Amino acid sequence: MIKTVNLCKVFRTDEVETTALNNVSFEVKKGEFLAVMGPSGCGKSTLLNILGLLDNPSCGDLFFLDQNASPMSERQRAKLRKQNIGFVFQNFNLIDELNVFENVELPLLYLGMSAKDRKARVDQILEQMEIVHRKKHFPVQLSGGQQQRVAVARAVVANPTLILADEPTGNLDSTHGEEVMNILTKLNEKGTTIIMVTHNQRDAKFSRRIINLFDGQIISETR
Amino acid sequence: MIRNYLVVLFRNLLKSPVYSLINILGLSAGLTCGILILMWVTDELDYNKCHKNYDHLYRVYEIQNYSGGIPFYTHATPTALQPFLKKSFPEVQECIRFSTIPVQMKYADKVFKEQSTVFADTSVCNVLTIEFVKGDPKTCLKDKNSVIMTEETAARYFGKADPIGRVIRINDVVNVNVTAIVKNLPRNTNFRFNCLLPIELLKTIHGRDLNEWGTNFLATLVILRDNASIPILEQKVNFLQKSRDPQSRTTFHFRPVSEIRLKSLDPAKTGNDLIVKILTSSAIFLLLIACINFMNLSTARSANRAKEVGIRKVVGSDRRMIIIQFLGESLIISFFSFGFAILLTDLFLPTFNQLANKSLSMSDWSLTFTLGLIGLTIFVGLFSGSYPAIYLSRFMPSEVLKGSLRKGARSATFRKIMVILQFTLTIILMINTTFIFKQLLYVQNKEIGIDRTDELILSFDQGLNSKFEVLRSKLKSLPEVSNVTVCDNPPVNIGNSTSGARWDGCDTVNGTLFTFLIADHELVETVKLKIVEGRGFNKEFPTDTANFLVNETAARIIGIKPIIGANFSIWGVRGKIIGVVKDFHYQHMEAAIDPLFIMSAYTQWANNIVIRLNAKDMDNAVKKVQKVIKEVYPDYPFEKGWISDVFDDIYQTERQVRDILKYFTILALFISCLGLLALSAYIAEQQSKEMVIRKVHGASVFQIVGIMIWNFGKWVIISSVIAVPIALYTVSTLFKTYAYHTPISAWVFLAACLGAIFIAVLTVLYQAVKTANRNPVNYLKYE
Repeated sequence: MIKTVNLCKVFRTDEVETTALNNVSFEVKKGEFLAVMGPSGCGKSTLLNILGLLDNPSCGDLFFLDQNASPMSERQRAKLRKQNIGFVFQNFNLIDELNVFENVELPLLYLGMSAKDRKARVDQILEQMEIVHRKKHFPVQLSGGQQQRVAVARAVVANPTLILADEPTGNLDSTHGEEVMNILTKLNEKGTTIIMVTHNQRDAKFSRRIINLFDGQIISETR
Repeated sequence: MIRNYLVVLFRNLLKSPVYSLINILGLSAGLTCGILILMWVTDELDYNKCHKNYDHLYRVYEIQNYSGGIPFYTHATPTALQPFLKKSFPEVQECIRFSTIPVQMKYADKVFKEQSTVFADTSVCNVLTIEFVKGDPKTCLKDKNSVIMTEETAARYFGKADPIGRVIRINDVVNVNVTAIVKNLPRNTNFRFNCLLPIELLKTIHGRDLNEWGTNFLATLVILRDNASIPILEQKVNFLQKSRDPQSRTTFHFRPVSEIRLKSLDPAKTGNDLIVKILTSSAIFLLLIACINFMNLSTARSANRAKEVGIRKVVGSDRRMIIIQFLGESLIISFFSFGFAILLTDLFLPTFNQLANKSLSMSDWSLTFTLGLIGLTIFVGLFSGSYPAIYLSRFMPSEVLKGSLRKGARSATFRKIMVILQFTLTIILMINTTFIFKQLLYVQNKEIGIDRTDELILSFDQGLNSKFEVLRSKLKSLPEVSNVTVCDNPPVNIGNSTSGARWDGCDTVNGTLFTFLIADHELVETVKLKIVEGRGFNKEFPTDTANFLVNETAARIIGIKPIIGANFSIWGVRGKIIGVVKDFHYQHMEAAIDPLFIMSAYTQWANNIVIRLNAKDMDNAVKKVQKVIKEVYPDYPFEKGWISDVFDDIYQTERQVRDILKYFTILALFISCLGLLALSAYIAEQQSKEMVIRKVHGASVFQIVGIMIWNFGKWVIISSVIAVPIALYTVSTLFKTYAYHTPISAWVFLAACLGAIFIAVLTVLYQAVKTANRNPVNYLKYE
């Protein structure tokens, strides 16, 4: 599903050049649950942004669903992303001005789905996440765990083939964290590919394969 | 998707009501000024368009060439021109004379002074578009003893009674019948009237020769045929004119009526188009300042929308859609502001009309005008939203969603540039407005060479006749009256000129153009003219009725030494120059003082009485004067007029521009400061951490306030440096055509810059003090 070949990413300012990723090559098969681990600053989030087509590599290639995504324009990447990828973030990243329903509905708007179909799909997902009773509430009115469930709902509402999770339990207590990890596991069991960035060993155990990064390079891999 | 955008927009507006209000108020104020000025400009540009022959309608003007080589341009033409053009040139489809001369009209026991009475040829209805309510346009002026009245005028005379057939007496000389009633003519035409009389009555009432070349006093209007070539026609006319009068130094030309209102006839002078440019520029400045406010506030607060942009990009939006979203938001706010601006326009239109001396109405908006306003609103929305949309759409999800975006940092340079631009425009407005104020004060206070205080001027539209000396005697017996004189023009606004004056050694081929005033022996004492050589007229010397006074400029041009006793003649009056008066301003100070002579012959043409009062209680003095006039001229409709008002009226346009600009400048300053206030609040919030840390390390409140004020103050200083040379250029251009103007003093520039800096500092002072007084403990606890 995903293949990276000698991926690198260099951040440049006027005076400083930082190599966030250096010759990263690996593959992810469809239906895999992969955890990317490493200390702070090792390039995990940078890698996730590139895999999620949110950023371009400085060199190397990224193949997504057998297409070389590296030379794609921003518009092409946006199109590929909205059709195939869902994101879950550590700090939830819900839009404060939209209520739960409207937040979850957002990806479907960009897919051009009709209002009737959107409503049906969002209601279904909210039921699954057991948050439908709060659909008119705003993020500021929800607990952390509830917010993350909404974020997961948003990530899966468009039936993506890939979910990218960047420290999804980072801002949650253990109970809610485990809830979220169980949801991700269930999704994976249904066939959704999951790539999760974490430095939580407990969360990593939910995955079936772990890649360890250090200073922008893959130093080990365990299954 | 649109619903989603709208929901987010309105919830964001409600979330920050103060900033939202500042944005909407600022744009509304800018749009309101834009609408008012657009209405004003449209009214000016539409001058004379009410006449359906507009595209073929021309006014004849003369270029007179005199000794000295400076041509004199005038719209005034002789009575003989109309029959000459109509008879001799097939290109001329129609031609009329049009002369506005005040008359006195009597009906029953009512007496009216009609300032807007026009004498015109009978085919006037073929040339101008006049809407008839009653009467037949083809026959209404057939009988020379006819009058056409407007509805408003007829109502004054006859109330609701039918005016047709009623008899009115003109100047106690002739009776006329009301033969037609027409709708009031629009204000924006040069050819208006309250009453219209056949041109033949000029002979009956004023003794004018209707086929004379020597005196220019009326307008000649022509409709030219489609195939007429103006240059060829002018050549033909002037060729024939030269054949008729080889001595003539005058050429005739045709000017489209579309040019009359805005362009000066004399190409060396500025016309109303300068005023249009000044006011339009000011409105554009104001709108720009409002748009900059919007851009600045939107980008400064961009961090509040950064997360949303990041999320939208994550879930599938591309940059184009983000740009569309924010441009759409800006357009909606612009239209919302437009709606509010319509309300504000309705509210302020009466005041604006008073300032501008107009009768603008929103009900006059044409479809084109309305579409133009909508276009303006769209432009404002797109312009204001352009930079914020481009800026916000650049946010990368990878930066914003991790919270690594430093709030307000990236747009700092843009904000600085925008604040500098805002204050540059504001300072330019302040400087220009101050100089217009100064010019008016200069004009008010300048020694003009005659005393214009405490002088009544009364205009008689019929002959004063021998009863005048009775009147003078009775008036001078009042202790409140010092002097009484008669003259043909108000001494502060003399419009007559002639090239017929002769003296020994003068250029008889080209002649010299003189302005002239006809007045009697009491003129000098009444208006306090200064005699620098010789003496004034003396009623003890009967020969003085053939003698002359000249001004210093005339004395220089005549060049005879000694000037006193030099021979001087005009119109068959041969006499001597008995005195030289100090040059005095008798016209707009835009013009230099031209040569002038004063004669006391032909005072039968003089129909203005000037009365110098000397009283503490002016109202009582005026009442006494009125009583005396009523005794001697019982039919005279007394209308109090002061020489000082006549003088002020000359500068009416400058006063209007000054008053409008005054409000614009205040508004510009207000909007700029409003934006600065909001911006400073926001930036103060961002700088809290820095200021608190400084405080912890020993900075005093004063030092922190100083740092914050300097952060904004330096932008305004830079604005001042940019604004001054631009303002110097605009002020110099404005005064270029003024022969007399207030000095372009450096202190005005300095005062405006310092004023702007002071106001900007005051604006941010509150935020600076608030931040400086923040308790570090409270802040650092939540870091």
